[in-house]
Parts: sequence; C-alpha cells; structure tokens
Amino acid sequence: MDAPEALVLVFRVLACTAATPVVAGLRCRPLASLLPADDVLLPLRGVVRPALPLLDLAYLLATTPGEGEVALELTIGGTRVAFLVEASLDLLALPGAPRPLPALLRAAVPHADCWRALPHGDRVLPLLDLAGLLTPAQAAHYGQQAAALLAARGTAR
Amino acid sequence: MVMLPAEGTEGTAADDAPEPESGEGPRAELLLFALGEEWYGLSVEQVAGVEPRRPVARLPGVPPSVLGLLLWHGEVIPALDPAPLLTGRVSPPEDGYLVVGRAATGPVALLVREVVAVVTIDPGAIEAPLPTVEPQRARLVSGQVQVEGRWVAVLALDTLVDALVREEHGRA
Repeated sequence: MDAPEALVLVFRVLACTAATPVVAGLRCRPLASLLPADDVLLPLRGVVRPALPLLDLAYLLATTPGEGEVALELTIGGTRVAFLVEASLDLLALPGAPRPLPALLRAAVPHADCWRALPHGDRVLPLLDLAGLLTPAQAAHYGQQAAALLAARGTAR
Repeated sequence: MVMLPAEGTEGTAADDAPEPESGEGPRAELLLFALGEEWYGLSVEQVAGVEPRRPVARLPGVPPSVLGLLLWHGEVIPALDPAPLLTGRVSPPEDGYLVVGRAATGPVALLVREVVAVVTIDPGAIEAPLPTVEPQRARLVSGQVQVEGRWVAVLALDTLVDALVREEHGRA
C-alpha cells in the first residue's frame, strides 16, 4: 500500500491504538511470509520477503514480545526494515498539528522522543515516529542479522 | 457543605457529604475522594475540575499507574491511576471519576473511585503522617486530618504524580 502524505496510519500494538505519520516509502503489508529467528535475536523476529528484517515493535517499545499479522515497512538510513504490529486499522487525514507529550510523561514512556499526541475529535491518538526508534546504524545491524539468517536457513517462506 | 462546581458528580457519595466544621480562624477546603475504601483529600486550590471517567489513549510500555492521554479543554494531559501506589490495587477497568489536579508540570487527571465532597477544615488540624507509615508512602501525603471520624490522607500532588510516572519504569 502506497499512501500520500499528510496522513497517519492507525495501528495496534500491545493492545494500544496508535498512529504513525505516513512518510515516503511507508508500506503496510500482511505478514505473508516469514523466516523466523530465534528469541535470542529479539527484537528481530525473522526475515520477510524480499529480505527485510522483521522487528517486533512491542519488544522495542516495552521489552515484551508481541503478536501480529501486519508488517509496517519503511527505510531508515538506507536500510529497509519491517515492524511487526498487531493490526492496521485505518488511514486518517492528519486532523491537526501533533502536540508534544505532556512533560510529566516523558519519564514514564519508553522512547519518549518518538511519541507525540494527536488530538482527534474529543480523544487523543498517540503518534509514533517509527523511523525514530532506530538509528541508521541499528537498522543496518538488523539488516545484517537478517541477511545472515537468510544465508543460514534459506529464503523466507 | 461546599458542593463541587463540576458537572457529573450527581449520584455520588457527595449526597451524604460530611458537614463542614464550624468556628472561626483560618479555613481550607479539601476535595475528598475515595480510592478503594480509603478517603483521600486534595486542596481545592489544586483541583481544576472533576468529571466522570471517560476513555483515555493508552500508551505501550508505561507503568500500570499511567492510564494514558486525555484531551481536557483542548489540552493533552496525562491520566494517572494513583490506586496501585496508594492502595496496592489497580482501579477497576470501568467507572470512577477523573479529578484534574494542577500539578507543577501542568494539569493531570487522577482516577478515583468516588468523589465524596468538598469540606472546609482547620489547616491546624492537619497532622503529620504517623511515624509508622512507610517513608515511601508518607512522602506522598502532606498530612492527615479527621473528617467525620475518618482519617483522610491529604495528598502531596506533585510528589504523588512524580512517583506515579516513575513507578516500575523500565520493567521487563
């Protein structure tokens, strides 16, 4: 799925509803193929076609392995990676300017710099900058792990 | 008795609220609310509003005391559950009220089981927490006062909310 700008993709992770800005290159695909990785490699969950590292978003956010059927793909520092989420729910036109997280919560939220708050109607949608979760070096590292996994076990099913 | 100015408190124990103490001298007003079976108080000067509980936007990976984000008068504010820290039990998943406090960091919503009343007290009647109270818990209250024969812990809002957001942060 290719989507235009000024949209947010709403998804679920760890039973929470969140959104991420739709940026160039963001794709949302069902998890149709997976070469699984051992748990010791978490947050790497495996490799998905064509040869992308699949990273467990729940584990990245809360050190808790998550489940899911959907991969959100994007490019970080030249490395294409996929994030495992529970489900994709909707595409919304950006309803307004995102707000920073309340200062009080910055001590409580892992990766607080990657989160903002998006007022939506009478509610708030947490907005996650997926690309900000990893440095280019980290993304490249997971890309190398995925390549090594593929070399050792064959292609993603 | 000073009734709460906010809407949505009808049908709470405010109908049976304690009467204020009479007499002269300095007076302070406390908002009384229940967490579990215990009563707590917050200076009304630190209360920006009270409303029935409504859904909040949850955030992954936060301590159980952090309920999430709430839009309150156009402002995004944190919603916290003080029950785990103060009573050792999380609040039920539904029902209750949100007491919006004026913390030093900005407005913050606290989930409470029930809003009891606003009472007028003599500030001189507020006693220091008993020395037998655990220091970790004692720092969350500025004192205790008797209302209608019940001890009410007067909360230290800023210390409380700071403790709530730091509780178990980084747990596996």
